[in-house]
Amino acid sequence: MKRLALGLALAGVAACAATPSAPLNPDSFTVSGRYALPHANSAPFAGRMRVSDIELSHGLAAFDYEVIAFDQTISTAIGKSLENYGYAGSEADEGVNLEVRLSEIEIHQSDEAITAHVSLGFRPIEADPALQCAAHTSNAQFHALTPVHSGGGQRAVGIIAGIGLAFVGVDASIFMVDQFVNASQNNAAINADLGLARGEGVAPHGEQAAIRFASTYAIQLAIADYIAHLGTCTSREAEPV
Amino acid sequence: MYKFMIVALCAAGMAACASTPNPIAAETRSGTYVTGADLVWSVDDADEQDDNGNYAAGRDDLLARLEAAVETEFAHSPAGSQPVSFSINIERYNRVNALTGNIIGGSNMVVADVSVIDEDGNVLGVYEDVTGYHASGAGIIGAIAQAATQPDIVGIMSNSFVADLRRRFDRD
Repeated sequence: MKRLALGLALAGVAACAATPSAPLNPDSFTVSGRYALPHANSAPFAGRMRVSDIELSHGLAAFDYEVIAFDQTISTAIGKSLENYGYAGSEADEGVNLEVRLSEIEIHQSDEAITAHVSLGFRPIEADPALQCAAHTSNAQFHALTPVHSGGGQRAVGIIAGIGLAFVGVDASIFMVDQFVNASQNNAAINADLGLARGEGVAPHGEQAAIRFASTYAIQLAIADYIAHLGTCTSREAEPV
Repeated sequence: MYKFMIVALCAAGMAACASTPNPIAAETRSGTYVTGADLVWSVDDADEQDDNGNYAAGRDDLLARLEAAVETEFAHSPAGSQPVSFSINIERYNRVNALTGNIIGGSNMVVADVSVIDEDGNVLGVYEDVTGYHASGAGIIGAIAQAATQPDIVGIMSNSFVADLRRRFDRD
């Protein structure tokens, strides 16, 4: 198995953002209600969280990547994800300002798949022990399987993505979904019959696209992991000191 | 001449769609996620059933793949918290073979109204005349090419339909 550096993963993400015809969509990174994670309800951090400082793009400038746009996209996705589960906050005094850092994206590549490992760090900016539980590093991974090629000289491009959520403590069966990804219409149809396994998706054609694909879903899963973590915080930990 | 009329009608239909306001507010749309699609066959096709089952087989193939294509396209966007589903009422469906489509005229086409329904059964909005098609009309060369490559017409129609629905759904 070949291990590539962080830069390669980010180059893949950068390639996506740098292509005018394929702008990054925050929805691709957002944790929707489909995950069926526990809602904040009256949890300690319910309605309090907001992303105030985000830096995900160490080294991206070297790839001529629009760093600010990427940060904004992920910030939007995290904010929307928090909102979906009742954690997003207003400008109220009790709000928790989050600092988000992308610590690492690693890519492992083999003939069968490209796997993205993401480590996303969340930390309250306020130095308050009562907010300690809101500090968490989420680790996630996504396997992007090599796509099947169609015959007849037509390009086989990617297709279906299935996401397993076992590592964030969620029943993956409720979230197994398929997705066409940047496929030409004909090839998307051809590839639509592929089977999937949990925690895996069929990647788009091309190494860069596959890296971007795996990285995107790994980041989404890391955000899901953070929301799941917030659900474990007790009121005692969140009480003001 | 007929095939040019079909193309013109498609273009006119697309142009009409482009000026139609979105029936669902942007804020409402972004707060949803799509759980699935239910298809209803409302085509008046009583005269099409006498071809040794080919018509029925083609219809069933389209229904299955159209549902999969729609659910796949909307699997990750919108990414809100409120579940909605699509009810796809197919009202028109037309299939032509390679020779007819390329030389005489006509297109493989499916047209449907797509209702967006929330978890309480309320209709949030309807996208009318969503269209998917496989265009032909390239003459004898097109007929030969189509016969040789045997494109996945049902798949192309399905994905064309999905592309039109996505455009309509995302429009401000």
